[in-house]
Amino acid sequence: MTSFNTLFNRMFQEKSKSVYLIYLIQAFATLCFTIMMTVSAGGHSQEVVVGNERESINPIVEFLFMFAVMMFMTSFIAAFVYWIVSSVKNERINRSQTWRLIPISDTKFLLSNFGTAFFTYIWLGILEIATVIVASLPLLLSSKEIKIALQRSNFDFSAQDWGQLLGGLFLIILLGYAWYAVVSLINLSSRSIMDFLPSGSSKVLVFFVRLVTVIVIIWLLAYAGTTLFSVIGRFTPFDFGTGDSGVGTTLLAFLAFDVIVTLIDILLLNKFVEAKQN
Amino acid sequence: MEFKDNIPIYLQIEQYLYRQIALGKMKAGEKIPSVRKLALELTVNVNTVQRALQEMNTQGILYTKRGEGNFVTEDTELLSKTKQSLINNELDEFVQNMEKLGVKQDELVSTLTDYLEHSEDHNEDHNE
Amino acid sequence: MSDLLTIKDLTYKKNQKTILKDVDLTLTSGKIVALLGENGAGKTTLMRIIAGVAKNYKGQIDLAGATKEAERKTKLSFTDGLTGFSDSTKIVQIVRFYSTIFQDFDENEFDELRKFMKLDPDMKLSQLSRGMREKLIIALTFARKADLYLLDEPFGGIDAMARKKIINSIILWKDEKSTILISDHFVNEISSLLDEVVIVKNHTVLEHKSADDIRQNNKSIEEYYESFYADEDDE
Repeated sequence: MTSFNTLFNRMFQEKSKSVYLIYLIQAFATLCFTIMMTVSAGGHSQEVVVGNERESINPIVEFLFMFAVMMFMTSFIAAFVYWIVSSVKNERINRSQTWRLIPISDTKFLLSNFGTAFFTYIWLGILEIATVIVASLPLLLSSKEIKIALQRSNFDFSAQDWGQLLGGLFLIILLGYAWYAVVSLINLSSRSIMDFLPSGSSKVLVFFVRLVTVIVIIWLLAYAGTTLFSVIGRFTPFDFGTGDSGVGTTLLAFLAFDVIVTLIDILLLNKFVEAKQN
Repeated sequence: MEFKDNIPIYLQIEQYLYRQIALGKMKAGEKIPSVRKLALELTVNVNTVQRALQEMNTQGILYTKRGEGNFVTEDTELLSKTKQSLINNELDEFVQNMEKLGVKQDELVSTLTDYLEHSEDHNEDHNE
Repeated sequence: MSDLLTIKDLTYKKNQKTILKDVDLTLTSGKIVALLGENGAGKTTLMRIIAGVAKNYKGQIDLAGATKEAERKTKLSFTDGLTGFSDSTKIVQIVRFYSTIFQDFDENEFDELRKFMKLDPDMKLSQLSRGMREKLIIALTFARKADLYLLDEPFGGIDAMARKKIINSIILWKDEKSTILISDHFVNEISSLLDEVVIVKNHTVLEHKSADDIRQNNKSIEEYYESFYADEDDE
């Protein structure tokens, strides 16, 4: 039996390829934008304003900082592209005979597939953040004013702030996971239904049926989601002690949602969804 | 080697090995090639070669040394018997074929003698 | 001879169409078995069900004591079309995938097979001819130590030399205890190799006979196989 770790590593390796590709394209595009902007600025010596002080800065440092800003801005587009690309890859793996022949339970297979998609996304984020920090470091270090401003700023976090931050982080993880689980649910359930339909149907009909299936599933999901949220909203067993029960309830609702969708996914993968014939 | 597909392959392998021994390609007391090598040479299943060798072991034409493989028997009497039975097989077939061609049994000897006397000419024809 | 694979009452439908019905089959260990039938008779589906990649079937499958799909997968090696890899993947990269994923994959053995098949490890999938690709698939399949090898039409559309290589690799690398099931719609090229023949027709396993028994009745395997389809012409 192949262990979860082995499969997870292997899938991570496979998916990180698209992370590198997206990152490289993003970096290259950002570089082009930055050059274009510098050229159109006409080589004027720029000044940066911190508080009431004005400092003239080195053009290379300025260029790098601009690059960092652009990198940060394009990261939203890159993230969007990544979610789409990784979802497609996930679903391909779910139906690939090469992957499905791996001796491991369907539960571990699916969790590894979702998990690696999410972790490679974090890997993309780390690459982007590192780039932004490295590119903006020269400016931050060269400008005394910024250094002082940074030192003055308060990084004092109360326990409540930490709680909210942690809650927010969990929420992002659950949300990201939910995305993959829902995409799989739509794909796997429509595939299962298609396999039950009589054969020999025309391609147009098959496409139409598939479309209807997808719409019905999304509608069902939305309905189930709202019901779930309203039920859990009314019933709050534990409170994060912040007065407003927001974070705790939402977390619980999302957790329940993720677990239920994953269970349905596992059932579909285990009982109905075949690997593509090759 | 080409096999006739309507006779069990292991029997044909036996025949093949008998012939090799009769022709002196495998000599008395000599080790015969390994099972896998024979299988590869004849493009057959290892199991089939094993079955053929087993039967030949039972007949005594081969004997097995533990961990070393199969050897041709040194029993010269058995070997000549085997050779004789091969010759008989060929003759059986020859006689049957001649009968089909209308050559009766009592004419066989004269036909064959006649043929052999002119065989030199035949050979020359072939060589051209 | 111990039973290796036991299939009982197997039925499989897809798109409301019966592909396999009431299939019963028992294979013992150490055999080379041909799975014969017309194109579309259900040979590939039967192999996919045994391998656990076709789903939603009814019936029991037991492979050396393993009934769960994931456990069965550890005990069998199935020729995969390598569709999970992009065309730019090199042979070495595929080997790395196999050797990390499958615990029973023997890299040394693969290397021997690869040399025997004369494959260059730096070649990309897109550079391989049909015959080379098939040889690679066979080498990958045999480099695993499995109880059951499922070879799905390994001779489809390849030249005589590649076929000879593949047949010889079967003879050379087959483990004494393992069983090989080879599907084909044409039997001549492998008939001298076979221990047993399984005929798939009318959505089920119609016959299962030993090759020697067939030949003992003064019939060639080809004639035997064709006799199942001769009836059809009369109707």
